[in-house]
Amino acid sequence: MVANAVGLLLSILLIFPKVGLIFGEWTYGRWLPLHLNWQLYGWTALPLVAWVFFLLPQSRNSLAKASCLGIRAWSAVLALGGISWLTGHTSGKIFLDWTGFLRVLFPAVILYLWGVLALAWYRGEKRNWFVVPGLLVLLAVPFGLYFASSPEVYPHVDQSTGGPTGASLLNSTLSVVFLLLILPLALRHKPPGKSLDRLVWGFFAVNFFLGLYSETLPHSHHHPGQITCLASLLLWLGLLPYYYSKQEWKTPHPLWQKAMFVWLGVLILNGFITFLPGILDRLKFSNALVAHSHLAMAGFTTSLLIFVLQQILPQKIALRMNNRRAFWSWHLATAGYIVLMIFAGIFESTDPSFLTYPGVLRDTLYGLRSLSGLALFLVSIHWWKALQS
Amino acid sequence: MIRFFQRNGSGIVLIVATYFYFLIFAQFAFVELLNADLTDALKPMMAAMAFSGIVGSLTTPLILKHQGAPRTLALALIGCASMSALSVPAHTFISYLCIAMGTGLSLGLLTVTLTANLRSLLHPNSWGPSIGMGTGLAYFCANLPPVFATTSANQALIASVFVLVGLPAVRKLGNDESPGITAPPSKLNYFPYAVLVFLALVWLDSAAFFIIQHTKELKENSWGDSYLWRNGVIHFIFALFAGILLQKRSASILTIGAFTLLSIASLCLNQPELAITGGWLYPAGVSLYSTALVACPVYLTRSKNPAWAAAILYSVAGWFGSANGIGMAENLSHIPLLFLIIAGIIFSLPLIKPHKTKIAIALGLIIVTTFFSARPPALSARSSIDRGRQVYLSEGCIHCHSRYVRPASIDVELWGPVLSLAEIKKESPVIIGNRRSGPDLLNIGNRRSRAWLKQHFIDPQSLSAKSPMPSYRHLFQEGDSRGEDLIDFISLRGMQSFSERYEFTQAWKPKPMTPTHNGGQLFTKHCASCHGSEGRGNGPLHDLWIRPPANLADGPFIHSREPDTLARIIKFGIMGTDMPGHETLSDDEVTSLAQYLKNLRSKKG
Repeated sequence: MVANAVGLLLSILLIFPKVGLIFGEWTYGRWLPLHLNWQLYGWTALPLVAWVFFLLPQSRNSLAKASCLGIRAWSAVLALGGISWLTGHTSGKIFLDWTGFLRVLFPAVILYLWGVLALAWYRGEKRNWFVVPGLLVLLAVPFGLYFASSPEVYPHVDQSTGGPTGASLLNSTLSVVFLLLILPLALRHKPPGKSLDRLVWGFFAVNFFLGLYSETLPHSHHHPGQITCLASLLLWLGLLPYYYSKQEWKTPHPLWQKAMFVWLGVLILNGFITFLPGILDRLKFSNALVAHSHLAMAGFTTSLLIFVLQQILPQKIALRMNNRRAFWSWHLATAGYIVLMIFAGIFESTDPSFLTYPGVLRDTLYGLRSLSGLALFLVSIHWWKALQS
Repeated sequence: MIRFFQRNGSGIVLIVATYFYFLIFAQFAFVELLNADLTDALKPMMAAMAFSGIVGSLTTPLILKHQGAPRTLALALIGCASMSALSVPAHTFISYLCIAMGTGLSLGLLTVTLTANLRSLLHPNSWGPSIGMGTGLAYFCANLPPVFATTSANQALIASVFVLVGLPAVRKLGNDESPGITAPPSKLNYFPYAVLVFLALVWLDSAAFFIIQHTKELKENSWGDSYLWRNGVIHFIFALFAGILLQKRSASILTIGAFTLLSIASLCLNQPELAITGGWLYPAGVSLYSTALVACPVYLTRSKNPAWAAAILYSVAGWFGSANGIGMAENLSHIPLLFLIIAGIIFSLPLIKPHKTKIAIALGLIIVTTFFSARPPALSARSSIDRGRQVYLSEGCIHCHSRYVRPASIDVELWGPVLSLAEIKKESPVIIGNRRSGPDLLNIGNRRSRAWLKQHFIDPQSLSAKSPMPSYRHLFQEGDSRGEDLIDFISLRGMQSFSERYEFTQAWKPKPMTPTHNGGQLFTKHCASCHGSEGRGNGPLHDLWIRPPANLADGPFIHSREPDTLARIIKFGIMGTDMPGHETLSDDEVTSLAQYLKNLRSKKG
C-alpha cells in the first residue's frame, strides 16, 4: 500500500514536477528506489507473512515467535532502506539497491529467516531429507544478494541495445518457472502423476541447458541462437496451466490462479516480442519497458502472491481477497496502465521529442496512468483493511 | 429545505454570527486597527486576548451552571458586539488592552456556550449539514469582497451587527431540547485524543494563516481581490461537505483529510512557485477541520459534560494552539517539516493496536533516529569527477537518464558518439541507466555548456517549458559543491568526444523538404526565452550567458552567415558556446524554424 502510494506520487511528479519542491531534496530520483524496492522486497514478501499466519495457529512455540521477529526485522530493514534511499544513499543498482550497513543487514535478516526455516525442518515430526537440497539452495540467497549488490558486479549487456541479453532473460524467467514448479511440492500436494511430472521436469531440464548454452552465444539479440533459446519459453504457456490443473488445490477454481496464468502468458509473450530485433532497439529505455515491469509486478507477481496466500491461509481469511469488485478493479487498472505505457513507449520510439517537449498526448497518457495508479492504491487499501478486519 | 431551516435555522444563525465575528474582527479588524494606532503592541495584545480567551472558556461551565445557557449566550453576544464597536474609537494602549481582554473573555464565553448547547438548536437528523452550513456561510460572508476589502473600522462595526443578529435566536436555546444522541463511533470519541488532533490542526492553520498574512506575495496570491470569491466558495463547499461527512460517521477521515490538505498547503507556502496551489488547498483544509471543531464537544466526543469538553477543547486546541502556531510562524517564517512529522505521528496514534505499542515505539524511535542522523553520503572522493558521480547516483539521475548511446541507431544523431561497452563497464558502478524520461547524458558535455546545465538544474522549466525534470537548486546553494561536481562529472565524456561530435554535426543536413510547421510557434517555444519574442536577443534569460544571445532580427550574424548552417545550429547548437541544440526536433520542424528565422532577417533587411 505504501509502495503504491509512492508510485502514485511519482506519476504525479512526472506531470507536475514543481509539486516536488515541497519535498526539498527528496526529488523524484530519491523517491523512485522506495517504490521499486518496497514493491520488490515488501510486496513480494507476502507469502512470508502468510507463513507466520500459518505457523501461529498451529503452535505458539518459539518457532512461531522467531518467525514473527524475522518479519518485523524484515519490515524494519525496509523502513531503514526507505530512509537510506531518500537521503541519497544508493548503490546505483536497480533492484539491488543495498548499500552501507544495509548491504549486510538485509542479507543477515534473510539468513536469520533461513535459520528459522531450517529449525522448522529439524523439529518436524517426519524429517524429509529431500528438503535438504532445497534448504541448501536457499542458503545461497543471502550471500548471493550481498554479492550481487556489489557495485563491482554487473551482468552481461547486449551491446546493440544497452539492455539485457537473451540468456539473462531466459534464465531469470526459468527461475520463475522453477518456483512455479516447486510451489505444489512446497504446499505438500500429491504429485499429479509420474508421466506429467517427468514431462514438466524433463522439459525444464532441457530449458535449463538451453539457458546455459545461450550464455555461450554472442550477446546480441540479433543472434538466431539467442532468439530460438528464448522462444523455448513459449512452451510453458501451455504446460504450466496444464500442470496446475492436475493439482488438488484448496479451492476448486482458484480465481487468482487463473489471473496468474493470464498475466504470465502476456508477460512471456510481451518479453519475447519486445526482445526481437528491430523492436528492442527501439523500445529499450522507453515506457514500454515500464509497462513490462508492471506486467511482471502488478499483474503476474501480485496474482501469484495472492494465490499462494490463499493456499496457505485459513479459508476464512483467504477468501477476503476474493472481493470481485476489488479483483476486477486491480486487473483492469493494471491492464490500463500497461496499455498506456506501451503506447507511450511506441510514441517515444517514433518521436524523440515526445518526452523532451511534452504535449497534450503525453499529458493525457500520463494523467490516465495516474488514475490507474490511484485505482491500484485504493484496491491495496481495501485489501489491507480486509485482512486487518 | 424549508423544513431544514425551520428545524435548524436558529443554530445556523448563531454559528454564522460567532464564526464570522471571530474571523472578521478577532483575526483581522482588531489586528489592523491596532497596527494602525500602535507599534510593537501586537504581541502583548494577542497574548492578553489568548489568556482572556482561556479564562473565558474555562469559567463558562461555572457561569452556565448558575445563569443558564440563554442568559449566558446573550451576555456573550452583547459582550462581543460591544468590544468590536468600542475598538473603532480606541487609540490608546490601555483601551486596546481592555478590548483585547474583553474580546477574549466574550468570545471564550460565546464559543463554549454555543457549542455545548448545540443539541437544543439542531435536529438530530441534520446537525452535521447544519454545522457545515453555518461554518461555511460564516467563511463565505467573511470573504465577500465588500466585507473583506472595506476598512477595519467598518469590519469591526459589521462584526457587531452580525453578533447582534444572533440575539433573537438565543430564545431557542434550551427550550426545545431534542433527545440526546450518542456520538457516532470514531477515534475522536476519546476526548484527550480529540484535543490533541485539534491542537495540531489549529496550530498548523494559525501558522499558515500568519505566514500568508505577513508575506506580501502570498497574501496577494491567496487573499487578493480576485481570489476572494474563490475562497468563499471553496470554504462553503468544503464546510458543507464536512458537515455531511460528520453526520455519516466519518470524523476520523475528515480530520485526516484536513490535516493532509493543510500539510500540503503549508509545504506549498514554503515554496514561492507553489504558493498558488497552497492558496487552493488551504481554505479547503481549514473548512474541513473548522466544521469538525464546532461539532466536536457534543457530537464527536463521548464526554459526559459537553460544557467542560468545549471549555478544555477551545482553551487548549483553540487559544493555546493558535497562539503557538502564530509564535512558530513568527519566529521561523516557515512551517518546519519536523512539526508536520510530529503532527502526523499524533494522527497515526489510533492506528497502533494496544498490544503492538512497544513495537511501534521501538520502530518509531529507530526510524526517527535514523532519519535525523542520516545525511547525504559524505562526498569523500578527492576529485570533483568522482564526487560528481556520487551525486549522480545519490540524486537518482539513472532513473530518468541513460548514459549509453546505441551504436548504429538514431541515438548517434541525437546524443553523440558511441562509447564501447568495455569502456563503459570499466566505470564502478556501471551507470548505463534504465529509463529515458529525459535525454541520454553520456555526451551532454559537448551538447550543453556549463552555464546552460547549471540553469537547467536550478530551474529546468525556464529553459524547457513543461520539462518533467525536478529542480535541483539545493545542489547549488552557497557552500555546497555538489552541483558543480555533478556538472564536472556529466560533462567529462562530452569533452573527450568533442571533435568526433563536431565532425558529425558539420556533415549533417536536413532532408530537403517544404516546411509544414508554424515556425513562429516553434520560435516562441524553443528560442524566445533567450532570444526574446521578436528575436532581438533580449529574452528573460538573456543575461545568464557568457555571450549575450544573438540578435536574430538585426544581426550581426557571425555563425550563420551561410543559409545552410542555420538549420544545423538549430539542431545541434554552437558547440563550445552557450547556444544549445534541439536534437529531438524533426527535420521538418528544424527547416520550418530556419525558414522563420530567414524571414525574420529579410523583413528587417
